[in-house]
Amino acid sequence: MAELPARLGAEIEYGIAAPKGGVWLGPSGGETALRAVLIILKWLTLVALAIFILGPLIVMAIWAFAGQWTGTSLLPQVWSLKWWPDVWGLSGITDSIVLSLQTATVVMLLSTVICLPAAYGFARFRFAGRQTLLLAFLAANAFPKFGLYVTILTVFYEINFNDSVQGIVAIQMLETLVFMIWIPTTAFQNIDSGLEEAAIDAGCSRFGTFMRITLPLAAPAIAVAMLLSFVAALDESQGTLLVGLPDHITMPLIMYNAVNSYAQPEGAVFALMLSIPSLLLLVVAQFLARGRGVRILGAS
Amino acid sequence: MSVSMATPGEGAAARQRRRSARLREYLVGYSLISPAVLLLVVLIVYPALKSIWDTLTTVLVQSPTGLVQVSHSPSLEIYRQLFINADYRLDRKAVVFTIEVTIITLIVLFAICYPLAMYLRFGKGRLPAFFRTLSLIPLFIPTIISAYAFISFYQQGNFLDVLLQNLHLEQTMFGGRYPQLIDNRTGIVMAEVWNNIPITVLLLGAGLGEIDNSLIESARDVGAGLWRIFAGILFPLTLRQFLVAFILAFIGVMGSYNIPALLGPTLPQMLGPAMNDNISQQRLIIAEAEAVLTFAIAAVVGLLYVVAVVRQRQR
Repeated sequence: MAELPARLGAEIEYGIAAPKGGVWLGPSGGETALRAVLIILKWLTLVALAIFILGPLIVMAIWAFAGQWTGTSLLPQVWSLKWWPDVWGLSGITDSIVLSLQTATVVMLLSTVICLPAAYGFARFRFAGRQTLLLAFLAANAFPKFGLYVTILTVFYEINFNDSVQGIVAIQMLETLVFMIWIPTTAFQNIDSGLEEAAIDAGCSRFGTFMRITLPLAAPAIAVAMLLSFVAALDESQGTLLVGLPDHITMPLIMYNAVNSYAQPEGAVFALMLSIPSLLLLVVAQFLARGRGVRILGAS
Repeated sequence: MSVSMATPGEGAAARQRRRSARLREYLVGYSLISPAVLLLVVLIVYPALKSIWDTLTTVLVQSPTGLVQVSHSPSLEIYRQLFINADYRLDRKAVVFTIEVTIITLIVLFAICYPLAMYLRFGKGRLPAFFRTLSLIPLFIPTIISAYAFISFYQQGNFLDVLLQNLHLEQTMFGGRYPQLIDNRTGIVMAEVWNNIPITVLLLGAGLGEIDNSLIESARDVGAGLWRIFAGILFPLTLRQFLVAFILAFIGVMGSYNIPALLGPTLPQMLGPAMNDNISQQRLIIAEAEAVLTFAIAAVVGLLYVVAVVRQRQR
């Protein structure tokens, strides 16, 4: 089990590397009829797959701009932006936005302060159990999530962390650990330690070297990790649902109501608004990552 | 900052210095990582162990004032009750339903992802590149939003229904009656598959990427068909990535709440929603027992991975 996460990291990086070029896997030789059938099948499959992945998202996006969309029409009869202001009429929305931005920011900063020293420790110091401890930080992904949240909730009941901002922050921290430990650790490891040694030889203190040499060089990767943490905290809904209710409602929790009541099209507008920051931040992260040769999960 | 090996003839003072340098290395290293490790202990290790202990030492008993938790010496009593007591009939169903949905999801997931990953790896031109990007999209969409999108697409009277009517396909495909795709097992499976496509395709793609083209070409030269190439070369060589993807998807589906709660049936429930209901009905210890059950199942599946990898190495 221990090597699972390490491999995973490597494999995810590998997976986004460029493909090696094509090999024709279809039938060889001249059976033209069979070949034509296979090509049609291939296209049907690809179209079905594209519809399966994109269809729901596109329809949701269209709903957000639909003034009127009834009957058997494939597109809205009337296009409109009128639902966008109406979103503010969903109950508790302003509070939820404020709370979400607050908790996501606190989570991101707290996670950075706690995890960056650890990442540096993992990258630059040799101590017993180093590899095992580094792998342990993938534990959050090795547990069935909701079960883990339930067990955390029972601890929170004892210390009155349930239905509190502290509780939400703590449970959202869990989502950020993998990013904030693994990405900076890799970044620190990739920095030539000769640069640091040269600075120390020139009379710089170890802390000064870290601040002036190491940190600036690792900054792009750290920024990526922080952005991913912010988005992860902002989007976290399952754990927040358990520890936040009934009084602490974040943006994703508003979405539960919208889904349950299927508030159309306000729900679609809110869903779109909720996914825009994530998509934007991920584009930024991707941009940062591409510039400095840091690969992050999924964003190639 | 590694410590070099001792050379013979070195003085005791030098050895002493080296030992203290290594001690320093240990101390600084541990103190740098300790806050993060503490967080890990507080958020994962302690809660998990506490719930295991709780479920071994507590039972839920019906009293005149309602349900009360009673402590006892360590035993498997709560699990025994969970599996025989009539009160927990629905919880038992949740366990079965969770395993059932998880297995179906995994079968569908790999039936889609293996051909897709192979297409992305071996296909030529721009189309595979387009589908590579496409297959990553679900990674960026929170489940709560994809659940909403699924409803607006698949529910009766919504887009797909209307589309099939317009294409006059509804009569031929479903005899004029569009099927219920949401609020049942189908809804959960579709959304869980959707969600797990990116990570599965990434992992399988990683495995396939390591395979040399010449291997496939020589197999083709001796007349191997597509299935032979898959079963004889591609699958064995990507077994590790397959297992990792399998375990991640398995644990992910079993530990999910949003999708089964929003797209699944009212009854039977999956364990996620069942745990949530138990919590709101003040049956916390039952929710804990179910959480521990999901951990146990995940551990068994993880163990299968270890066994498979060890076997592969011995060969």
